[in-house]
Amino acid sequence: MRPPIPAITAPVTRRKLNHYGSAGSRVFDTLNVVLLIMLGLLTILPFIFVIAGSFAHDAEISQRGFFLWPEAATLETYRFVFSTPVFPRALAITIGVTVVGTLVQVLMTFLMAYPLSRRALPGRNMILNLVIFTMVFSGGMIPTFLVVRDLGLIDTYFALFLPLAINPFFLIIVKNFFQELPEELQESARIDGATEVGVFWRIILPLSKPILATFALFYAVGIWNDYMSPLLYINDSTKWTLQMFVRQVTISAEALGNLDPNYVPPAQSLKFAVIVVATLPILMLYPFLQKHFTKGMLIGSVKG
Amino acid sequence: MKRAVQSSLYIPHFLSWTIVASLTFLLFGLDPGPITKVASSLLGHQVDFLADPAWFRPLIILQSLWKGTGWGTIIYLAALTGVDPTLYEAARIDGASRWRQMWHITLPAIRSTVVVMAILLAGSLLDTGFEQIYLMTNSLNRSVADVFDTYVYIMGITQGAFSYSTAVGLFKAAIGIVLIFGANWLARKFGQSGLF
Repeated sequence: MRPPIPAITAPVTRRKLNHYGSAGSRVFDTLNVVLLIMLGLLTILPFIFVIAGSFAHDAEISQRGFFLWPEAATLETYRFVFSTPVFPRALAITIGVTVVGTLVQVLMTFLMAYPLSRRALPGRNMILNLVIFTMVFSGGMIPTFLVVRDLGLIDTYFALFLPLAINPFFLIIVKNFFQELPEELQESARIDGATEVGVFWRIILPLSKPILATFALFYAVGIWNDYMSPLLYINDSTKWTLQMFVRQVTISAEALGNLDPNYVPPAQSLKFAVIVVATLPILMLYPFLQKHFTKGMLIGSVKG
Repeated sequence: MKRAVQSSLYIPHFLSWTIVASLTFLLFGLDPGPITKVASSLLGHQVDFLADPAWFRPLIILQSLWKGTGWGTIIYLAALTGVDPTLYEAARIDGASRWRQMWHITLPAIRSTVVVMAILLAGSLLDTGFEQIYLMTNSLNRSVADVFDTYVYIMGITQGAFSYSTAVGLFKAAIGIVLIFGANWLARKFGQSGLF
């Protein structure tokens, strides 16, 4: 609803024109900056705490509680984490699934988006409507689980990326992108004797490199961070991904400790180190992520 | 300075819920739990954020804010930078204060963005985030923790009641559709263009 417009009664004076230099706005600016810095610290401090804790001894962690710099730095925890068979395996599995899964997902999305961007495709509108339908309505967790199970994908790595292979939002954005590429380029390639595959490979793909990078990152972060798929589809603990492992070390440990009196909880510093290793790839990619995700977010939502 | 704050505010968006929950366990747990220690000494008794049902919902909200707020600003930031600066200039010449400018220029200018975001949010109102709730739930706080998705998971996957939990899931999806179309209808009613 339109807010009621209060009548402007303040007399217009010369002085009012440059009130940006007034005392009031200086206070406002200072408060703004202080508030923003505090917000920034609120997001950053937990990380610094975790990184510091991963280099500290257990005794220091339980004694000091919160610190941003370890008194006696040690690499002991990391050495231990990588000396166990479980952790490097989970790391390798996660990296493998992320790389292969991203390739498959990007390939499938692009291969579906390209034909859908051709106006000559028969049944194009019907297929598009089916895609849009999945965006508003879905059967949910159990039907998906049953399909994955009956395809024999339980306890296979395929279950971690195939069910999510084509994200309908991404598909439509890529399709729109293809549609906006100039038709003349493709025609001239055809006149020069390029096949349809050649047109896609030599003309379309090189032109869509930026959008390819964006969606590859979207998909990769999705797979890396996914906790639900391994929880649903992977029962065999030797096939666990990092997220499952992190949960086991940092969260379930407390519950296990309550149930089993003989259970020895993992060392505190171990939790810190595991969190750091599971977050590190994301933080290293962060500069690219920020750039591409921000762009992707804006193509997806605000138009014009 | 602005960029540094922006960069740090976006980081949590890229972290998995597993990591966010782990950080919560370290900070709000009993050991080392720095926040638990401060809160306990302030309140004068031992607080157990992770097990006490009364603290479950505040914690979930806090986590969602920590993870999503920074990222949520992107769209509004784009909308805000799109506001024509000559409008502000004109208002300033007419003697409008900062508050007046915000009320009469900024808010009307980003109104359509706000409406679209509200419609999208309404559609995902029931997607309460399976991973987040599931990770934060334990036997002590389960009484206040269950949402559609975790209930479907427990009934369907762990207890094998497939048809029952599918029905629950479908019910949730149907309500979701009602919410998204309802929000869209409301937006049109108030003179906005809506999504469809």
